[in-house]
Amino acid sequence: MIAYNAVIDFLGVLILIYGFIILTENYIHSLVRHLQSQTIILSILIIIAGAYLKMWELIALGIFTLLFRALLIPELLLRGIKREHIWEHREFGVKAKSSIVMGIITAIIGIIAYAGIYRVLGTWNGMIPFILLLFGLLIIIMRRNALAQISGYIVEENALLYLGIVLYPIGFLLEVGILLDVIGAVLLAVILSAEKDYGPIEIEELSG
Amino acid sequence: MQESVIYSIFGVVVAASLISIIKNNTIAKFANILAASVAFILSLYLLIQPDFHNSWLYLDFVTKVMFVIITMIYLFAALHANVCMRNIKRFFIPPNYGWSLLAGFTLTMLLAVSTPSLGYAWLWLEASTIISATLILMEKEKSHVESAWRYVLIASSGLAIGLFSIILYGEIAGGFTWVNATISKGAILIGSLALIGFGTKAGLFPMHTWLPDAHGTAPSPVSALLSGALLPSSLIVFYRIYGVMHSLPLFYLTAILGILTVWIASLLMISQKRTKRLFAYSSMDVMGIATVGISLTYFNPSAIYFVLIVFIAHAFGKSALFLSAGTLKRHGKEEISEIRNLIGSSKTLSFAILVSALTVTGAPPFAMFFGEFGIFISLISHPWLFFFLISGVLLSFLALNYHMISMLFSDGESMRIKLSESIVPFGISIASLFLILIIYFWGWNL
Repeated sequence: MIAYNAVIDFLGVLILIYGFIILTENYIHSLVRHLQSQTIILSILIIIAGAYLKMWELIALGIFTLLFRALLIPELLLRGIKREHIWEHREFGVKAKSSIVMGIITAIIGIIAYAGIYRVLGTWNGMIPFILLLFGLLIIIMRRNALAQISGYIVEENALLYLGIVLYPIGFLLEVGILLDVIGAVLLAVILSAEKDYGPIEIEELSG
Repeated sequence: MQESVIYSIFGVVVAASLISIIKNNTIAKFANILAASVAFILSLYLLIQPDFHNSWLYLDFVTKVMFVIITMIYLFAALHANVCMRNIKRFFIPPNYGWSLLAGFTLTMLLAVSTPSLGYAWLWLEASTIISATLILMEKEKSHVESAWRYVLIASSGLAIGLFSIILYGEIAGGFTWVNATISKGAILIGSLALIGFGTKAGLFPMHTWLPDAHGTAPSPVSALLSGALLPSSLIVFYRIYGVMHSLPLFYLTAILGILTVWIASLLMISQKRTKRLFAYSSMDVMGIATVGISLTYFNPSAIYFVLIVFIAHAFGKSALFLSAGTLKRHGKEEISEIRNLIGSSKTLSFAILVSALTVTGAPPFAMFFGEFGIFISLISHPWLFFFLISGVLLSFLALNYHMISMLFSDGESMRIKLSESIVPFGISIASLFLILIIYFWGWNL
């Protein structure tokens, strides 16, 4: 039990560090690679949790996440980047320094907010995925570039699955994971297809 | 018996979706109209059946009414889609796939409101996001891509918070079902997160920003479904969670958010330039009123009947308005300022717009008035909340009807609108007049 918790915590810290790197990364190509690394670690975490808890649904989810979200989606993203050279080495308007500051502030807010959740749940296990969830939302808000916003969405997906695993691991997560991946894939297909016609899609602000 | 009727409703909608994929546009259209008609008749039949539930389905009066609302708007949308589809110049997805997605969208909402599991309700609402976003993309325009993009990102981010609340609920309640569930702690936390999460999908302030873009750019039948069926479905899922939480601070939070939504929507309605965006903000306003109604179930569980009356009246009114907007778009009129002397262009369309605008703004004696009146009366013991709600509702009444009157009666060039282009909105508005009688003689006895 102690070894299991230690492994899960270690992998969780790695996932969070990758979340922070994704938040501050300015180059799309590198961003996709970081996203891929984060998702591979998450897949391993889910498979370990599934094996430990003897839940085949979680093992299946881990394998699905590895194949679909860690391999297929990043490869499609990278192909899109290669085809449209305008994406390559593209810098965002958001400065790395301000991203780092925003990331740290978000993490501190996350810790403070989770203290309230801790009073209800009585466990700190959900803190890392909670902060990761906030990072995902922050990436979506801070970035204007559509492909970078997809990375925020995938970070958010990773956070939700991780949260489910550490708080309430049940078979329902399999359906959730598959659905979230389908949404991610459809988003990607739409954006890559739209860019062929209209060029880079940049959303000035997420308001109507 | 009820179980087989429910599965029959699901079955015909699935069949329409599958037939639409493999067949051409004309067959897809007829398959959807037929499926929508059968599903609507079966939903009406369910209304007189006793309540029922098992581990997969939960059928109470709320579910039955939601089934009627969803299948009814699906039928209206299918009947009028032919008029609106002709507006589309370049298709992003083939039209028969659009028909398939329309049926799929309906199915996800039916599943979301009929499951006793909050987890699966979340799952179906999230599925509805991606299907409806694809429907927004039917027309290949950059503005549509951006609207769909905003919609998916904001709605999915909101629903992520909703899923967070459901995971916490599962951890504390030991399961995802809301039927006969009680929780000992965390009511405010879970309820607040659920309010943000499902409120995003219902278009509540301040998470409403996807709504005007999505409703404004979607084909009009899809806008009708988004407004009349999807927003209420999301609120019904929140209502199920709210019922378990039973917390006074959560009542205040929900009621205040509802009132703020009414005010913000009403203020934004004044300055709108496009018809469909105006109707979108009107939907937001009605969802704010319904949210206040849901909050009142804390004191009086029967307050949900007033909310259901609001939903039914809104379904009629907003379907007719969005479908009318689709007809006007066909004549190249999307801006409010471009539409003048509508009464001289088409009596039937003008009648539909006038009756529907009065319905959705709660003017007496139209159907919405009964629901709103019940909510106001239930809120009277909270004078400040009562005052702000009623003043917000009055403002929205003035804002929407000011624009409608300028479209209908001001001088200007008239259009040639065929009867076939206005017959569905006209039929809906006639049906909404019958609804007044039904609610008056039957609804008050609920």
